[in-house]
Amino acid sequence: MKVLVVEDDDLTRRGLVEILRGEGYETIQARDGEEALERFESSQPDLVCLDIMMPKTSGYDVCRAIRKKDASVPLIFITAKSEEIDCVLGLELGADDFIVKPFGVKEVVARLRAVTRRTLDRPDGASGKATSFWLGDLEVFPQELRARREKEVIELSLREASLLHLFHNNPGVVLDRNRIFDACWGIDHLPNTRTLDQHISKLRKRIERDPKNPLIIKTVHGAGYRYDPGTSQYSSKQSKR
Amino acid sequence: MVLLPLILLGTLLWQISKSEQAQIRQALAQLSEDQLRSVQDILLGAVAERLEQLRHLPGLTAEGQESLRAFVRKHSTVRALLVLDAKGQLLHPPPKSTRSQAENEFIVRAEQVWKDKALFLHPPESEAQPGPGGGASAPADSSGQAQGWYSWYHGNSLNLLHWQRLKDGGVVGVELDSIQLLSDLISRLPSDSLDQSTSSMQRIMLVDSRGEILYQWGGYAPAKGETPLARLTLAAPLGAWQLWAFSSQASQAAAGAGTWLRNLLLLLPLLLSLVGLAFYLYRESTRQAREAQQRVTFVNQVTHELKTPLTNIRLYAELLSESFEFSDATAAGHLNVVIGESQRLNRLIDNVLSFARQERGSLRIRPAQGVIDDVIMRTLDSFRTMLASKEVRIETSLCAAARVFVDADAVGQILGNLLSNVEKYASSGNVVVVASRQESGRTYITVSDRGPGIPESERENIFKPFVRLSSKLTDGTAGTGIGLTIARQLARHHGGDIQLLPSQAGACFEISLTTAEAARAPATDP
Repeated sequence: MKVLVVEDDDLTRRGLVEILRGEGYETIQARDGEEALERFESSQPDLVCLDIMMPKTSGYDVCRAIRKKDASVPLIFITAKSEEIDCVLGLELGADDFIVKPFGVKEVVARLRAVTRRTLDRPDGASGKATSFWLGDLEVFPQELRARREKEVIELSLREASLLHLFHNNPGVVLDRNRIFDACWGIDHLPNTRTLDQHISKLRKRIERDPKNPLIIKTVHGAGYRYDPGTSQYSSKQSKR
Repeated sequence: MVLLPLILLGTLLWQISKSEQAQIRQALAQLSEDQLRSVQDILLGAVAERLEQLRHLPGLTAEGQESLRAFVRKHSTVRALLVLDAKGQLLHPPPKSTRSQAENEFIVRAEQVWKDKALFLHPPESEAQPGPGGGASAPADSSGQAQGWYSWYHGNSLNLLHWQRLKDGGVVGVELDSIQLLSDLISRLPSDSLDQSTSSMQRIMLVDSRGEILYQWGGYAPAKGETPLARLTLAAPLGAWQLWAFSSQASQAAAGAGTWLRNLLLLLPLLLSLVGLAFYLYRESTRQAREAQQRVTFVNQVTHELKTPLTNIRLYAELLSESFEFSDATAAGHLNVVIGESQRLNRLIDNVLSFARQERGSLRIRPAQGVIDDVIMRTLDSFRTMLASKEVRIETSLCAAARVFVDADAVGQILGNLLSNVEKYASSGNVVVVASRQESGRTYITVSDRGPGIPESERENIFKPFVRLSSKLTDGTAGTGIGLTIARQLARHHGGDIQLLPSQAGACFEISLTTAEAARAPATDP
């Protein structure tokens, strides 16, 4: 998914871009309203993050212009919430959600995932993934960006859902870094080895019963990572369903 | 406040001017009447002169018809003579066969007099009484003999007859030539030219009983239908005539306008003061409105300017925290301090913003579907590091898991202010207990600690703005004194309140909120 980030403050914009890339989104940046409309026209993003208070052209005006071109593209306003009217007017103009400054990583991630789920649930936004699949005793719902183990619900990023889907589609296959990057990062992104290791590490902390002794995503030293569905420890759990 | 006195002043000014104009008009009328009396004196004086000429007439009655006729021929103002004996028999004009044409005409013209000749034979007492034709008798002359005037209309002309009683009881009467008399009177009056260059802006008219103008003079030409300023009915024998006086509107208006102007000048300082006051009040009210708008704009601008760097501080600190697995706990701890302090600064800004909104009456809440226990946990998560650094343990007993309509930000702000106070004032108790429950459309959240507590006398004061239990700078405790004020305002906007409950140890705050139950979530949610 492509996300257009429109924010006049350079630091805030770069921070948002870093969060989005960590989540698995492809990003397009714009510093002001004029640039935003140009990029929107040329890149056709799947989601827009739009600052309200910008010089020359306000976020409201950009929103109106975008809505004339595409009434359905998800749009998240970034606001300092200085006035009630910000939120009311924003919703009336068709914003899907708000990110209120100062925001943390978790808040941005939560908002993005919520909006992404709604996008994936749309008929034209279908990701081509199955409604759910199993990885060991973990049921993954890729369109909801969630996974469930018994009663526990685990939130997933877009990239994490892509990673799990990749492992599910290649059971027992050692996936090397290049293959994983191609499938889950896209050709425009050039992560390093450590980036992949960090993502796998974070993912294990969320989905593995014991992250230090992972059962779902196993490390194949010197080669890559592998998912073994036939591991005895949780195949018995599968049979109990 | 200013308009009403101006209106009253204007009304007063108008009434004063109107009253003064009425007085001026009355004075002008009085002057005109005096002037008319002067004219009357002139006219009556002319008549009196004519009477003087007739002083010798009684002596002529014994000299025969020719002497009487000669008298008439001699005096142009005498039109005819009348002589009656004591029995009322006509002696002159002579019997019909010897009368002249003029005498015959006199007989016809004076027919009315014959009907009333008893008036001559038996004059009334001292007061003059008008006869049928308007004639009136006069008191006795200086010799004690009766005399009088008789006036009547024959055709369109007024006829005047002066009669005197003779010593033998007879009567001699003289009919004056009214045209000659009028001509004589007119000659004694001012010219009738309408010369408006004259200083007189008046017009005086001599009119008969039908209102027909006999003569007029003065520089003013009254409009058709204009009412005379003054009228005077002339005394006998001219009682059938009147004098009318007209004054120009300009002179009246000038007099009135002058009065108006004088009053205006007298009241001008007061008027200017009132206008100045109105202008000052208007400027003051708009200045206050402008300043209020500037304050709003300033608050908005400051909020935006503060929140942007704050956003970056928090954002990058969290990104750093997620990017590295710190082997050194100290470094991780330092980063948590940065994150925690940025959150504290954010709460302070939110409190200031909420306080500003409350001051201008625009503080609002926006309920949306949510779970209050989730809000409590998120708020506690943001305080864990800070409370842990003060060795404050968090205990929870949360029973508000229903999906309800709640303003999560407002509840987070309320809780955050209470937890912030625990961190500042009650950390010595080493524990904070947060509990929640829901019943009958309301949610209750309690936050209790084991700190020093709050004195009974301060239980309500602590909710007042800028009140802190101790304002001494040496206390070393930071705070603005608006946290609990904001918390209470937000709770009340949410249909509830916040109260300090009695407790044996520490402080226990209870937040109550009106929280309507929301619809159940869709079944597809895991």
